[in-house]
Amino acid sequence: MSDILLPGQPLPLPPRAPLPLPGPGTYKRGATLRSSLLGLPTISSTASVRAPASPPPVPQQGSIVLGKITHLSPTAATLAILVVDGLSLPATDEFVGVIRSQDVRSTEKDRIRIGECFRGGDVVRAQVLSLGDARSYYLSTARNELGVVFATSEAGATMQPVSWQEMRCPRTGQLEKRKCAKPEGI
Amino acid sequence: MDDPTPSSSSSAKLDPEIYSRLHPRAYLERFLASSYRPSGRTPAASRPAQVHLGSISTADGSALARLGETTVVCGVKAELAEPDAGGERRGWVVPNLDLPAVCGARFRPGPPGEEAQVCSERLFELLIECKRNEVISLEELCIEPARAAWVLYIDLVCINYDGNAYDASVLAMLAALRNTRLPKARWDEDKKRVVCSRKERVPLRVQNLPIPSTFGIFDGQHLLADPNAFEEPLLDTLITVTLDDRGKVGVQLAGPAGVSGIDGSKVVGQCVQAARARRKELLRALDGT
Amino acid sequence: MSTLQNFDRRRITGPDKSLPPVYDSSPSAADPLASPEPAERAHRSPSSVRPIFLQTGLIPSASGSTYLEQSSQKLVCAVYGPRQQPKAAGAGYSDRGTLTVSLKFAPFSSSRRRAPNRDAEDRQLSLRVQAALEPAVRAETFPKAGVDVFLHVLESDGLDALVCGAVLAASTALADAGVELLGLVVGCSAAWVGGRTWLDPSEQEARGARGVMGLTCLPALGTVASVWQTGELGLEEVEQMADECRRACDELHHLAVKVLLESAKKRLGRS
Repeated sequence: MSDILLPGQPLPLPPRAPLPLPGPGTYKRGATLRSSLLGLPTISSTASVRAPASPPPVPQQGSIVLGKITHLSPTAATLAILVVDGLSLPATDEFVGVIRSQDVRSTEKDRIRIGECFRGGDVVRAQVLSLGDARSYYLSTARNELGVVFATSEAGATMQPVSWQEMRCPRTGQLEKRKCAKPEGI
Repeated sequence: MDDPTPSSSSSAKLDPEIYSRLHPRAYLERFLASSYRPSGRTPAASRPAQVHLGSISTADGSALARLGETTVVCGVKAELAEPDAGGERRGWVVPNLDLPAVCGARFRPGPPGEEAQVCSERLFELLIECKRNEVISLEELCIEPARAAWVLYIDLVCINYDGNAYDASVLAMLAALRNTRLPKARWDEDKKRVVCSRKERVPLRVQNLPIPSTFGIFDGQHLLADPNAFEEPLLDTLITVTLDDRGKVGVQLAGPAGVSGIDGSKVVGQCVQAARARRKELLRALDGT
Repeated sequence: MSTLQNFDRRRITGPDKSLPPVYDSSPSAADPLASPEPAERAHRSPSSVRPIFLQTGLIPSASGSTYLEQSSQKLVCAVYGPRQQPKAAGAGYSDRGTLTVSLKFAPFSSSRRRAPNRDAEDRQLSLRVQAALEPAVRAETFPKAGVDVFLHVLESDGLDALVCGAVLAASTALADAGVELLGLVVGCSAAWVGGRTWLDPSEQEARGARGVMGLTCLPALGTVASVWQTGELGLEEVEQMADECRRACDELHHLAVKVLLESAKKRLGRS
């Protein structure tokens, strides 16, 4: 018999040790801990089971996501979430997220103009604030490292960030307003 | 819309899978710049084809065709109907492709979407268009003029979608038709209906084998043979070249046919040449396994 | 009878009305179910379940997938998600995810062609499969999102046997997809014929039986997931059939375990 566990199988626990806490991939039933995944167990003070293949990630509170802006309104920007915590979602499966104007930045929250922070097609890094409502997850870009990571200018070229609220088009030299994410390494 | 190459600083830390998800066009462009596609194929390479016959016992004829991962199952079931006025000496062929939720993330349960509908129409055209050399002669499906004729329901189901469902569907359909055996039928004047023999079956006569090869044009610059599911949404144009037994060529185009650096009319010529070679390969697949 | 709608724009339609062929003689083998209480089962022993071929990974773009073949029964199962659901059922979001099962027949899957629009039967069978899987899926691990299980039947012979095959295929696909489960769900069907239980009845056998039942369970936990029954059966008869189904389920569980271990070993790079 191999060490790979199946859903419903009790975990191989040392006989007289106290029961570990049920971590991800496990559950408690009566006096035993059982696996809820096909995978390998890790047992310490908390027991967990990890599957070799994980299903697509689901955004949770605190997750860092990457998405493309699909819709703008005066009070919010809607995002198609494509990457969750570093794992990309399968093609055509996207979660819907929304960045409300009060969650774009941490200062001057009431003076936000969404069109000066995001444009359609921008790739944005954001953090999940809460699971939101039935339709979308609530997201925030109110930290330095969150915001637009990729945008094209009106002339169609990839822009470079010059400050936390402006990007420059390399072709025309024009500046466009965005809530930029602080590039790494600075 | 343009999707320019993201600058190196913002994409330096992006792993390839995330990059392909966020910037699919740029991702494909980068590969093509080295004359390869993300799947590892060269632009002119098509995927290997496999055909398996007769696996569905509830059908009168069946086949499964695979083009790479794209898999289509075809089942032919024959029923009887009374010909309508104007078609007293003809039967029917009724092809329909289903792209169900099972075969890919972007399909949801429900009636046939546009892609499935268009494909079914194209399959129907393919079966009946070459006058005097149709794949199936509708006249031969007639059992008794004005009284009874065969209806061939040709149902196709895609069970795994990775692009180019049309080429795979045609292969599955032609293979299933060649695998079809109809009960021997005669018109009984006394009972005023058709009586079929339980013991004797007659193979369906398939007259012609029109084989398609589909290509896509990316960015007005690259001709890609047998596009897969990642490439399909990024293509401006699809070209299908169909060659039949008598060397007749049919070309279907959807989108602008220009490829920069190549004369528009020459693009079609290139495709026809590639389609000739591909036809030999696909005929072997139809006969072989 | 395959009656197509007069004008279905979305499909190629043939004649308004067509009928399956009528044959000149009845089937050559004497129908064992012609007599009211047939004594012996043709081709198999009463407690035999038709051998199953089960394979995972058929559809790489899905989270998990399986192909099941059991004599004249063939089906494909794909699991997608957890993913965003198109419409939110109920007010706001729930802290439990949803499980949706959708079973569909290919038109050529039974001896009489199934016209594409037969919704009612598909829905009833989908709900039966869903009822069996729901107790096992830990929906609290994917709040607000949904897991979709799609089943497409290519060939079928016995609807109760089909539901059981679908449950086995779906369970295996869910486990392969990494969806958290309390345990694997498997099922077995039975018909009461001539005073005995015949396991895994074919369509013909089910039609000639006095009553048919299906039972799904989680052998790892010793719990029953769902039970359904049609026809006229006494209480002791049901108990006896349920017992035999339960025992057959243990074997089916072994098969699912074997297939999943092979799949996991392959992914972990072991021989």
